[in-house]
Amino acid sequence: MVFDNDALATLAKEAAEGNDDAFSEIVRIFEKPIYNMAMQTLCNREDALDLSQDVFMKLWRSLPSFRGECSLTSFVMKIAKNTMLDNLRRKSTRRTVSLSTENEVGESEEYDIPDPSPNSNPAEAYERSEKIQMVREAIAELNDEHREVVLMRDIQGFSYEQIGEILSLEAGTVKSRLFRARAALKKILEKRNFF
Amino acid sequence: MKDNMKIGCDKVGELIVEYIDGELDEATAELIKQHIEGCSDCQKLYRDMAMVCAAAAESAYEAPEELHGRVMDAVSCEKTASKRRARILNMTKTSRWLGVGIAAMLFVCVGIAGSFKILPKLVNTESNDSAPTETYYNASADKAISSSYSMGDIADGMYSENAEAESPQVLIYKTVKATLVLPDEETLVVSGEKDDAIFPAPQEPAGEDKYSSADTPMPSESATVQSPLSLAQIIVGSWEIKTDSETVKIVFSNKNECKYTLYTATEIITGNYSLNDHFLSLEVSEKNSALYIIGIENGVMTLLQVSQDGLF
Repeated sequence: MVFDNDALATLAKEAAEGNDDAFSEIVRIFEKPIYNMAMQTLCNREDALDLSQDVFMKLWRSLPSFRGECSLTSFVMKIAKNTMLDNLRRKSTRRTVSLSTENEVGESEEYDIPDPSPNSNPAEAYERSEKIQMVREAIAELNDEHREVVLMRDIQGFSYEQIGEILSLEAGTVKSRLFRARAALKKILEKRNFF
Repeated sequence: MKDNMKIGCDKVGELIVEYIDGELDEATAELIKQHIEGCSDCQKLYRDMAMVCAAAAESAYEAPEELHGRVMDAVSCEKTASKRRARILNMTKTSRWLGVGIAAMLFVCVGIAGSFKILPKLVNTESNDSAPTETYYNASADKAISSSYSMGDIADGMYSENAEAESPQVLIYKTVKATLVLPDEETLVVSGEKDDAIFPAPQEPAGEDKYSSADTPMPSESATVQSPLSLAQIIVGSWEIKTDSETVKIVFSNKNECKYTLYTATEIITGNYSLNDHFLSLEVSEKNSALYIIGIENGVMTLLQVSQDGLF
């Protein structure tokens, strides 16, 4: 998820001026990280879709006020974060994944586990999807600070520098936080016999 | 840890994440690599952490294809709504709609009249449940604002054209403010010039702008239309009304039927509505209607309830 900031700023400017193609490109660039944030927040495909749409609409409305003081990536992610926090406040539910909520987990699996490749055998495909689900649940169990950096780095693909900019952290803090987050993730996965 | 290693296990543990992410410079990465090759503990750490990173990356959701389409559709809708809103708000800033002005005048009138003889009546009314059975609205006050306006007969018994020589007498039971909820593509589809298909022109008198359901008697004369959109068209849509106890939504339909739907926390009420210049009549039952003096300005609708029974 490393994009040239100048190119993004140009896209943002064009989109703010009413160029739908430019905004369409911005949506393409950020849809995966935003949707993943939403899924981690809500764990439900339809709700995550709605929330992602909400983020992009807020972005669209906010683009005219984007002056390039920060990168577009940072701008987008701050809007996403605020939108999701607002959503959580409204629902007054702190997002946790519960294995007992079969419906939520079921919906996620039904729609979002990537289809196994045609050549893989069903048992392997099943095992893989189980492991992916296990990792998702483990990530959801991390504390907010750790989950945030794991999502940004491993799932949304931001560079250390981008994470630092988005979270207003020094590079060293990003590294140490990411280390602790991954260690915590490893610990959770070990408990679940992931390895 | 072996003595000949230039980097310790602690340091490897500290840098392993950056090593896996490829964020280290070549020299440091080479040191880590050498250490890992010769240290079984760090080998395991590396293997596990690499697996965690890979698994986390693999667990990412692909954004559903429909997301992009939904966003772009929503942008398109909002662009349309924004243009419409700008047009409506711009228009309502003009003196086209005199309702708010009338409302202000009425309050003044109430204040003046109340100082002399109406106020005791109002106080008395509000202090017990027996509302007055007869109230008057001074047509001359209205004419002072809008010379082209004259009273229709929708407000049966609520005002008197013969009251011109008397002191203004108005009883406002309640004031309600509603805010236009935009965008709401489901309900707000009015988008420009006056469209008789939305609010069919009355049968009589011909050539005048009147908007009313078929059952509602038409006024004898109406205000001159000075703007492309009529009050009847502006009112179409979804309005949010904050009452003392709750927030309700009222939707005025854009169909020929002139239906309204009121959504409260506990029930949904539907009925016909009719507009007659500055009056809005909301059917409460087959026999009764709630009557309001209506004013719309800057997307805010003010309803002065002048009938004893109201909806809000």
